[in-house]
Order: sequence, then C-alpha cells, then structure tokens
Amino acid sequence: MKKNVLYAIILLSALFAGCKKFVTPEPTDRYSESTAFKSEANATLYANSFYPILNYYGLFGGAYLGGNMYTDGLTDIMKTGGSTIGSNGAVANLYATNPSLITTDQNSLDIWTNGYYYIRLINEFLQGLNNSKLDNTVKTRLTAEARFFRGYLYFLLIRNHGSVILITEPTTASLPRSTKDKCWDLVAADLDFAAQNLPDKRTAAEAGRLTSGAAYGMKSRAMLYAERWQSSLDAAAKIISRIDGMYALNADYSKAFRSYVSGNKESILEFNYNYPQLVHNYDAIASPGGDDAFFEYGGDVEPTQELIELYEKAGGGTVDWSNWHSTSVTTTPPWGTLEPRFQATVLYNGAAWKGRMIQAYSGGKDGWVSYPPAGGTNKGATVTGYYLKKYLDETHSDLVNTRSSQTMVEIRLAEVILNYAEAAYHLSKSTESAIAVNTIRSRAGLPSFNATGAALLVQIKKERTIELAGEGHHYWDLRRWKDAETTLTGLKVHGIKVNMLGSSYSYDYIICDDAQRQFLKKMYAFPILSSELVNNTNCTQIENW
Amino acid sequence: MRKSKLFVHLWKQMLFLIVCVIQFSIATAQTEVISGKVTGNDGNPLTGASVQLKGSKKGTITDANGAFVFKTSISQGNFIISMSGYKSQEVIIKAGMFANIILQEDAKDLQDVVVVGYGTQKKTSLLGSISTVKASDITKVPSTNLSQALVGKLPGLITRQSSGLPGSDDVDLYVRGFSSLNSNSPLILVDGVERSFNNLDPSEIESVTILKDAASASVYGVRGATGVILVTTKRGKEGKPTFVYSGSVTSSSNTRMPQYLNGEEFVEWYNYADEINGRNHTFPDAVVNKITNGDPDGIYGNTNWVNKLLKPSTLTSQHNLSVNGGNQNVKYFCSLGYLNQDGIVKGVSYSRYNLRTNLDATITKDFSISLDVSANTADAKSPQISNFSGNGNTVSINLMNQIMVAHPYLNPISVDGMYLTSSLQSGNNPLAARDLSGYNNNDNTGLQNSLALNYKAPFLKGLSFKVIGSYDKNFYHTKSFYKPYTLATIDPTQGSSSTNETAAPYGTVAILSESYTQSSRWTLQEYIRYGRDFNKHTVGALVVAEQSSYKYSGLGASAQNFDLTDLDQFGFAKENPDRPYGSSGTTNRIGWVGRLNYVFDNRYLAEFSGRVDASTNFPENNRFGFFPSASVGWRISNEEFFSKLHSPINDLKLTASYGILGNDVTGGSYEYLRFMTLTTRPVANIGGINVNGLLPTSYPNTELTWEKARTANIGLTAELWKGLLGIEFNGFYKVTTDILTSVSNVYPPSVGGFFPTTVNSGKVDNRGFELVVRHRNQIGKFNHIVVGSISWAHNRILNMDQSAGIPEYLRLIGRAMGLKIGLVAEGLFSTDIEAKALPVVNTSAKAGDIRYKDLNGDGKITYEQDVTVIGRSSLPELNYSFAYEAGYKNFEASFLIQGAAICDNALMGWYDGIGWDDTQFTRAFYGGNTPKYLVENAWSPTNTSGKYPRLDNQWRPNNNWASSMWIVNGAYVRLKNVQVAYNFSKWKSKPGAFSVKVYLAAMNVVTLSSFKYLDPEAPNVSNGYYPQQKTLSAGVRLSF
Repeated sequence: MKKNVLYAIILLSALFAGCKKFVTPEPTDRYSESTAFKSEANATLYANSFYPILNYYGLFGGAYLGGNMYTDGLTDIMKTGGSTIGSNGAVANLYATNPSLITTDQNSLDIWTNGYYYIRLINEFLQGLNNSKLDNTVKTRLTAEARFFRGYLYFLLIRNHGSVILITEPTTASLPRSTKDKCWDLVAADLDFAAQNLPDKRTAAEAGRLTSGAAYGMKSRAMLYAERWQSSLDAAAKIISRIDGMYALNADYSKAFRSYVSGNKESILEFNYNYPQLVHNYDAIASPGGDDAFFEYGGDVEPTQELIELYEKAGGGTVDWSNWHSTSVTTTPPWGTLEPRFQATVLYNGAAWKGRMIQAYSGGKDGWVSYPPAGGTNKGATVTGYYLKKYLDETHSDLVNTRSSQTMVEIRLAEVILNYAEAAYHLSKSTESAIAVNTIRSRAGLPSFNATGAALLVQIKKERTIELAGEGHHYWDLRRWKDAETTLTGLKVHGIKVNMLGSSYSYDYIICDDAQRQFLKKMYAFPILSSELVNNTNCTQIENW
Repeated sequence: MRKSKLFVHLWKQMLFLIVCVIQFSIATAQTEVISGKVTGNDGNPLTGASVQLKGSKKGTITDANGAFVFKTSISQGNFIISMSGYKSQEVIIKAGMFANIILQEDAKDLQDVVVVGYGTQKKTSLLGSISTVKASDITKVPSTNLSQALVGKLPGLITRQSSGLPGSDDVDLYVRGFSSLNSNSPLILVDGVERSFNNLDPSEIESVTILKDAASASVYGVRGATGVILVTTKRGKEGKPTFVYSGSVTSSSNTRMPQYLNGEEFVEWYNYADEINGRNHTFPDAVVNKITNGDPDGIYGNTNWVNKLLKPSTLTSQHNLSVNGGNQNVKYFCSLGYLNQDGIVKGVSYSRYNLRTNLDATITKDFSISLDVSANTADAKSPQISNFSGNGNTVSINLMNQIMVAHPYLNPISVDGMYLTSSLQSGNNPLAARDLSGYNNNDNTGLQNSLALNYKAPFLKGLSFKVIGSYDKNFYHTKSFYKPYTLATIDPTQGSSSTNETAAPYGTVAILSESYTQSSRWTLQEYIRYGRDFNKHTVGALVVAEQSSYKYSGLGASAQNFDLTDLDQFGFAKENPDRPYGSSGTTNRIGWVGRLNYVFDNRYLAEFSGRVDASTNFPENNRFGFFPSASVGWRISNEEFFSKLHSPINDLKLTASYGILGNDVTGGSYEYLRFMTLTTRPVANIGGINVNGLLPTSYPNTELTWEKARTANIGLTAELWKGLLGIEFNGFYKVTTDILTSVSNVYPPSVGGFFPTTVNSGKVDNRGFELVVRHRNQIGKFNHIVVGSISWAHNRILNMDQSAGIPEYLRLIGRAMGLKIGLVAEGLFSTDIEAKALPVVNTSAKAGDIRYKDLNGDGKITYEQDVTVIGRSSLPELNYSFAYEAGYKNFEASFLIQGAAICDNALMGWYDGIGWDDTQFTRAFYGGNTPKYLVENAWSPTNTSGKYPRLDNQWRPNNNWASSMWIVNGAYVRLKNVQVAYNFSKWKSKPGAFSVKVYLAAMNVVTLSSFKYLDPEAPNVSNGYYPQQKTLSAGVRLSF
C-alpha cells in the first residue's frame, strides 16, 4: 500500500510542474519576430523590405504628386501635360500655379505618413536586431543598411518641413519636433554609420544592395540641404577618390543612366527592375504619344523652351534664340546643333526615335495640343513642342501591354561631382569647385569654364540644372537655393509650336501656362498635416502655416 | 499489492465484462435464491436500487423491471434496500419467497445530486445558480441535435434557432443573454472536457447543466464569464444488462413561409404597378393571354415554384441501441445511434452515426478506472448553388431565395427540355440550380476518448485522487463541385416565343474545391479531493490542475475548367489558378482550481472557489489570472425556530454569491506577438534575382488582457406542502469590464501605425432573474408535474469607443447591445402634395411612399443625420416556458409551451455592425416573384389604406431605407412540444420482462407571433432562408 501512495504522489506531482514553456507556444501558421532574427538569411529578408523605399521615393515612384517625375513640372524647366486631376501629371500644373492647394489638411508633396511608417518599420527592425542573438558582424552590416534608409527618410522629411519629429525607437508616444540641427545630426549620424559599415563593393550576387558609396553619395546630397558644406564635401570626396577604380563618368552621357551591373560605372545607387514582376510605368507615362498605337498615353513630362535655351552648342558656345521668339518662323530651330546632353534629354520635332522621326506637330503622329488641353488630358501629345527623352527605353516597343523595367539610378557620379563643386564653392575653394564643374562639362564635350565668386555659383547652378534635368532634382534644388520665388513667381513657361505646311514647317513661340507660376516663401517648409497635430498636441505647426 | 497482481486483476475484470455482455449474467454456486421486486410509491418499478445483506458486501441491484434475483448460502436475512432519492428500508427476506418492496420517495427533490464544475454536489447544499435537464426530458421528443432539445428546458438559457437546414439546425445558446461586445458563446464541456456537442446523439446524454453565476462557474476562470454548459453522458448502472432500443420516424415541414403570387397574379400585379406609376404594361396582352389560357409553345405557364421544389414534408429517422449494466466491479454503457435527415429540398440531407462505450471498473478496493470511448461521423449534402452554410441566407443566390423569387409565369422546363428563365430581373431557374449545379458536401468525424483513474487514499478517510486524461480528434472534409449549366431565357416584355440559350449566372467554368482540416485536443486533469463529516461540520476541499492543448491543421485547394464533369477529381482540371492553402495553430491552456465547502449543521453553508488560469491569448505579463468567488447560504428551514412556525414550507434556502470571471476572447491569437509576412511580390532585384521581403504586419499588443465579469447573484429555493410546490428564484447583476474594443484615429501618423488596434476599454452590464415554479402531485394512479419558468436578462453598454460628438439619438452608450438603427417611418404620404411639402429622402417621393421623421429638423431626410434606434436586439430579453407532464396508469402525456419576448426582427437585411439592405420581404418584385402580403397590402390609388409603401415593380429611392416600417416585434409563443405515450411495461411483472413504450410527438406545433409571414426566429438577414421545421414523430422504446 505504501507503494500505492508513492504512485499517487508521483502522479500528482505533475500538478505543480513547471508550465511556462507550455503556455508559450509558437504560432505555426504565421511568422513571428523570433523567426525574423533566427538567421542572417531571415534577417536579410527582413531588411529587403526597406528597398522599396528607393523605388517609392525615386524617380519612378509615386511619393509626390502621384509620380515623382512630375516634380520637375513644378519648375521652369518642365511642364506636365494634363490640366484635370487624374490626368497626365495635372497635379503638378495645378500646384505650380496655385500654391493655395498646399494646406494643413492636404498636400500632394507631403510624405509624412508613409515616411514615418517606414521609420517605424526600421526602428522595429533595429530594436529586434539588437536584441537578437545574431553575430555582431551581421548585426553591424544589417544595422548599416537599415540606418541608411532611416537617414534617407529623415533627409526627405527634413527637406520637406525644415524640422521634424525624431523617432529612433518604436513608440506610441506623441513627441515634439526637434531643432533643425538635431534633425540634420541624425541624418548625418545614420548615413555616416552606413557609410562606415557597408561594404565598398558588392559581389555580382549581391549587386543592388547598398554600398558605402551609396551612403557617402546620399550624405553629400543631404548635407547640401543642411548647408553643412564641409560634411558634404568630405562625403563627395570619398566617392571622387574612388574614381577609375570603382566609379567613372560614362563617356557617353546618354548611357549615364544605365545600371552599374551593365557596366555603367557612373551609377552609385540604383534600383533595378525585372519584367514582369518588378516593373514601373515610366515609358508609358513619358514616351511621345506616337509610341503606342492608341494615341492616348504618354507625354506627361515635357521640357520647356526655358530648359532648351540653357543648352550650349555642341563643342561650346551660346545659341541666339531671339529669332524663334516670334510666330510663323520658317527656319528650323538649331536643335540639331546643341550639345550631347540636349540630344540625350529632349525629343523634338524631327528627332530620330525608335527608327522614326518625331512628329511633334498638330496632327502629327506624336501630336501637339494647346494647354490646357480639351478634356483635361493631352492624350500623349505635347503642349510645349518637346518630349522628355532621358530615362526612356528606346527598345521598349509595346508600352500598352508591357510595363517598364529599365534601371532607376538614384545617385550617379555626376551629381556627386556637382555636390562637391557646390560645397567647395561655399568653402571658398573656387579652384576645386571649378575643376569639378569642368569635369562635368568636359564629358559633354564643352570647353572649360573659368569664373569665381557669384558667377561661379551661377554656373554651378546652371550646370546642375542641365546635367540633372528630368531626374527629379530641380524643384528641391530651387527650394534649397531659395531661388524658387525669384525663378518661378510670375513665370509662364514657353514652348515652340510646330505647324506643318505641306512638306515644310513653321514655328511659333508660345506660352504654355494658362496662369502665372507661383511660389510662396512659406513653401520652403511645408506644413505639418492636421492629422498629426490633432492627435499630437506636443507637435507645433511650422511657422507661417 | 504487487504490480503484476494488479494487472491480473484488471484482466480478470475485463474478462468478466466480456462474459457478462455475452451471457447477461453468470451463475454462482450458491443454493438459496432470494428474489423480489422493488417499486416506488407511484407503482413504477425502480431500476438500479441496491439490495444488500446488512453488515456484509453481499447484494445486488434491481434490473429494468425493478426485479432482483440473488443466490446465497443463507436462507433468510436482513436486507437494506436503498436508492438515491428514496428512503432506505430494511426488510427481512426469506429464500424462495418473492418479496415485493415499496420504497417511499424521499421528501427532498428526486434529483438530489447535480453536476457542477469538476464534480457533483448534493442539491440541498448547492450554493451557485445552476439549471439542469435530465435524460428523460431531453429525449422526450425526438430532436436531431442536443441544442434543440434544450430549448425551453433550462431557465436562464436564452435560445434562438435561425435555420432549419439539416446539419445546421442547431440552436444558438446564450447563458443569461449578452454580457460582452465580443463573443457571448458559453463554454461547452462534455464529460468535463471542452468539446462540441453538435454531433452527439441526444440519446447518449444523461444530463445537461448550465452554470450561470460566478460561484458555480468560477472554477472555469478565464473562460467562464459567458456561462458554462456541462454535458454528461450516460454511464453503466449495476445490474443485469438492459438493452434499450429507441427509434423514431419524424415528418417535418416548414413552420412558416409567405405565400407567393402565382403566374396570373404576378403579371396582373406587375402590370398594375406599371399602370399606377405611369408606365406601359411590361407584359403585353398576348403574354398575359398565354399565361391565363395556356401557351401552345409551352413556355408561359403558371408555376408554383414553392410547391414544385419544397416537399410538403420530409422524413427523418433515428435509431439508437444501447446496453447498460454491470456488477459492483464493472459497469458499462454502450450505445449505437443513427440519424438520417432529409431536407425539404431534394438533394439536401444529413446523416450521422454515433458510437459510445463508457466503462467503469473497480480494480482494487481503493482504485477504479473509467474509460470512455466515443466516435461520431456526420455527412451533410446539398446542391452546389444553395449556399445554405451557416445561416446561409446572407448569400442572395441561395437556393431558398431562388425558389421564392422564381418567375411564376414560366413553365419550369420547355417542351424541348431546356430550363426556362426570364430576362426580366434575375435569370435563375431553381430547378436547374438544384439538379444541375453540382454539390456541396461536408463530412466530419470525431473521436472522443477519456481515461480516468480514481484512487481513494487508504491513509486518510475522505481523501481521494483522480487523474483524467482525454484525447479528442476531429476530421473535417468539405468538397464542392460547381458544374456550369445553361438556361433558356425568354424576354416576356416583347411577347416573344423564342428563347436564347444563356449560361447560368454563376459562371461558365466548372470549379472543384476541397479542403481537409483536422484538429486534436488533449486534456489532463489531476484532482485531489477531500470530503468528510465531523459531527455537525461537513467540509469539502478540491484542488484540480488542468492542462490542455488544442492543435489544428488544414489543407485546401481548388481547381477549375473541366472538359468532363462526371468525375470530381483535381487531376481532370485544366487550371489551378489559386495556390493550395494551409493553416495550422495551437492553443494551450493551464489552470489550477481550488474549492472549499463548508456546511454547519445543514443550516449554514459557505463555499470559496477560485481558479488560476493561463491563456496563450495574452502576453506573458498578463498571462496568468486569478478568478475567485465566494458564496454563502442559509437553510432557514433547518433552524429550530422555523419548525416552531408550522408553516407549509418544508425547505427554504437563501443563497448569495459574488465572483469574478474572465473571457479570453481576443481579435486573433498571439496578438502580443509582432507578426511578419512575406511579401507576395518581389521588393527588389538583387544580383539579377527578384527577392521578396519579410515585413512586420502587426503591432505587438503587450497590454492585452481578458475581459472581467463581476457577477452578484442571490437565490431562493423553497419547497412547500411536501413537494406540491417548489420555487426557485435567482436574481443577478453582472458587470463586464475590459471588453476588447477597437480603436482608431487616436494616434498621430508619426508613430507610423505602431499602436494597438484593440484595447480593453468596453464596459457592459447585464441584470436579470430566473424564476421556476414547480408543482408535482400524485392522486392515486394519476400523477402530474407542472413547471413554469421565466428568464429575463437586460444588458446596457456602459462604455465603448464612440466619438464624443455623436448626437444623443445615435449614442449607443447607455443602450442595450444589438439595437437596430434606421429612419423613423411615420406612415405613408397620403397625397403627392404632402410628399412635395414634407422632408423626403428622394424628391421622386409621391403619395404612398414612406414619410420619415426629420430628426435633426433640417428639412431634409439624410440617412446619416436622421437615423436613430428603431428596434431592439433580435436576441430576446425574456424567455419563458410552461411544461406539463401527466401520467395515468400506462399513459403519459406532456407538452411544452415556450416563448420569447422583448426583441425585434428586421425584415430588411440587417447585417450586425455593418448596415442594412433591401430584401425581397421589404421590396415588391425584388429579384422576381414577391410575397403576396407586400402587394396586397401595398398602397395604391385603389388601396389608399394600404400598410406597405406604394406598389411598384421598380426601385423607389425614397422607400428602400432601413426604417421602423420594417421592424416587427419578435415576440412569440410556441407550442414547442407535445407528446403522448403508452407503456406496455406492466404486461409482465416477472424478472427479465420486456417493456415497450410507444409514443407520438410533435415539435413547433403552433406558433403565435405578431408578424405572421415568417418564423419569428428568422435571421436578420433574410433573403430567403431555410426555416425552422414543424415536426411530427412516431417512436418506440423497447427495453429488455
């Protein structure tokens, strides 16, 4: 009987047995965070989720105005085709002429919600990674990747608002905005950490992942906005020191926008697409209307006569456009004589394209319509007489059914060199600055330019406008330079209307805007949206809003 | 005892059992025969009464006829005859003489032991608020599933049956109504283990108990807040094997169904609707003529689709064979059941097999085991285009809807064999949908096994140990095959006689879908029990540790496009557009139960119980909870002063209890974890290869906790005039706090969505009472029982997430749950001028359209601005029943009247929490045919006193809004059951006799309610549903 008692006791001892593990089962139909940091491969998969940031905020993404390529349309150098919301970059036209569309409730240039969504994901990732048992080198490498993206996002947010709320770990707290300095400090720290801990070069299998060059390049750009000239210069110098070994300007400007993988050593940070799963719409949006049989799409972003007239002749020398500042001119404009960057950036009537000639006249295959177009959409026709060529894939034949997959180069060496030039100028290093500008000119087959002082700055800005036209920089550069009011307010952009007269053409200098462009001083810092202020009483509105 | 010896002993017992089952009994080598019969004072034989020689362990148990035979070596002895519920008797029985013993009923209630959480308790010392129904009441009228058998029999159980579909005709059960904004379903335990009882055979059930207050349910801790239902299956009783066969045949038909227009009436009303709304007749005279006088082409006709497709009645058969018996060492109950139920629509059927063996064996003096093994398998079939699943009615193409709206002016099939339909409104032909659309099959199989080991500690009297392990496994399989078919469509508006071949409106591609899910649950319970009397003190203590683990996994796939549709296998499909899907999950629970009982002198009673629970639904910091309760009772009738009063009250007990219970329902499992999802599309191209990303998709809600329900209960139990009148009263007040409610728009975008979507912020209270009055009497050979009961429960929302700026008439806080929102209808416009002058929803309103109340007084009727509460919840606040049972000699008769009140039904489709939509019960000619009441009672220039809006066959924009026009009182009273029976058992009085009972029974015989066209329990979203069934059964019960 004593044994029976023993059995009973043993049996019942389970009453008090430990159970913590038992009531902590792992879900079996979903992945939880513990899976995410189980191995380097898993954590890398997690970090992959941040790469769409490059796409979304890049030229082919939709962060601003429904399409980032439309931001140039807010400036003097481009015009978008549509005039009614929902058509062909119309928002850019509306925003260009009516600044009152930017309110504290609605702003198509605002990225606050999406930006902070990604910042939250990154902060969660960093926290989880830090607490994980992964190897330190893996942690450092992945932290560097994540912090690049965080630094990039904060840079974009600060570019918009001047100063923002700094959140570096997951929180539900309502926090105030930090000072401008603190904000830029965080961007600098994140990009520095990334630059110092990312590999300089990626293997073929890893091509497309961030490199230290990407971080230096981004820092040189961001620090221009911070007006921390030395930081910008230093970061640009790191890249420039790698010229020839790793990076080089592409001798052919028209190929400067191709992938690093295909041999374009000018590309420093890029996002690659792959048909049919990873695609974008750029060709369908920007191509001349004659490229697709339906004659309904394209021509969304069109260079203005203002941009055309910035270009020099091939080999150097200015062009006198005064002959074409009138109507019914029968002489063909000197398009064919302009420098290679024009030829690579602009499609004009008669330009060779996809084995045909561009017909940018009323009734032509590509067409022309006056702005604002009837029905609100230009249906692929041009309103300025020009089409944007840069970044279009000339081999892309079926725009209607096949989406685009050409690479988007976020940072290329030419930009970094121009960053260097600008930073050097502000550090009173005129010589270095001029050398940098002339490097860019020389690739375009243009003679060196010698200037100092204000003239040098004017030249740097002009060179930058030309070099980076159509790449989504110009609107932000104008704001950064505080040139937006003087350049834009009161402006109506121009174009050249081509008229077909039997077998010849006549040319009219036309105004393409239906109203004057406007830029208000307070737009140098966009307002904080009311959805934030309503639920976050610690956050104050930007001055003047 | 050595181990080997124990096994030998066990083996012997098993052998004994087998022999026992085969031979019914075994003879022993004794010479003297003691025999007799035990009956109760009502003359009925008592089965299972104990006959024991005083001072020894020798004895036996009476059989099904109350008889006992006993071989012994002595010729005469003092025997103790005892049975639960009866006063024990000591009699001298001589060998060779047949003794007739009559046991007197104990003055106390017959049902003196009731099932409570983790055990049983004497009813006299019960403190909690519970209700019980016994086997005899469950099977009195054949019902296809257990939940139906409970309606009206358990005070405090609020019921609602919204479908009569075979296999889905179970009743929604709520203990004391609603007390949470989330799930209000009670915890259901079968033999102490969480199990569904939907597939059990009602014949294998011994009792069903509901635990209503915190004192009785606190042992279920974090899961007890919404009440607990305990189902106990039958066990073997000592005695000769008793075989019981019960079988019944049931004919069922719809309780209610609105009457629809026939072909002639349809075109007449339809054209009339055109006429009064200024349009030309839709049906040309030529067509009307063909419908009235016959169509030589065989297309137009006069079809009653309801009669064509719904059988006037259909048959259900049920059979159950069981055997139970045993000796003092081994007892057994084995049961085999079969149910076959046909639907009122051809192709709808449900069948079920049940098998159960419950064994109890005493291995040694102190050690016994119980082994329960049961299995069931059920198979439900319906035509593919039926979408009856669940309530089914939410899908507008469900077959019942098609039958109701089918075009009555068409013949079902053309002369050349095509299924006819009309291009006017919906293009369906329910006959084709029924016969050609393929099938939906669901089958599931469940295995439920438990082994219990009991050990009485020999070293301390009153101490015992018990371990129960159980393992259940369920398999679910669904298979659905949609076969496309074609219809011949005619355009009646052109008077055309030629048809177009058109595809059925459900697609032209055959689709096969199949899924398998299996689930398993193991439960381990370990008990330490102590109970003992010390003079006037009775103490009891219980400690239970419980662990359970539930796992499920499933796999499903679908494929489409078959060249041949004769075989339903994936291999013959040409396309697999969707990937197969899988799912799996685990829920583990652990809990410790403690209970202390104390009774002093049968006068003062106290009980403390509590449970520590861990639920994997909550984060580690909130995982463990403690749920205590306390209750006290005073049996006043046992006080000395009380007996001096000489009142007619024999027994009077007052109880009070208070406790805290939990509800661990969350929006999903593991809400405290940060979940990651692999993107379905690539996020980047790395090294030429598209890569996917892993993305966090949820906020890890680490603050999540259970809902807490605090319940106070007072009870009174009284018995007067020696059982002639019994009264039970319970009143309760319950406050549920920390109810999970969803939050949105309170966090700034800068937190990036890093916030909980649900928080524990809701608060609801619920109050009510249950009153049961019983009368039982015996006058000579006539005995009868009358039981009346009434349950009332009323809830209020005390707090929920509702915007502060909402107007008072829309504020839900302070109101009951489940209210219906809509415009207030104030009758119909009597003239066009009135319609022009008063506020309307749509300016097209004319005479006969609905006049709404302009609540905010802005001169317009806008839905968002002018809606308010227009109806109560569909779940009744008040349930009542009246049961009557009488016996005279061999006759038995009983009936049950059951009803509900304080509830409303909506005729417009009311989707709880979403909104509303028109249905064919609110809009004439919506989708086709229309109920007669909608056109006959509609306003028209010739019927300006019509109750329903202006007759039209088009959408009238002013009228089809959710409004009080379509709210009907949901109160009803039903003659739920009637049964008459005759017992042939008294034909023979010798041992081993045969007893036969035959009966006739009916269910849902008569229903009274204010809206007479639909069943009062019809679901809120009623596009045509499978109504509750009215049944008539004939049954027989043989026992030998």
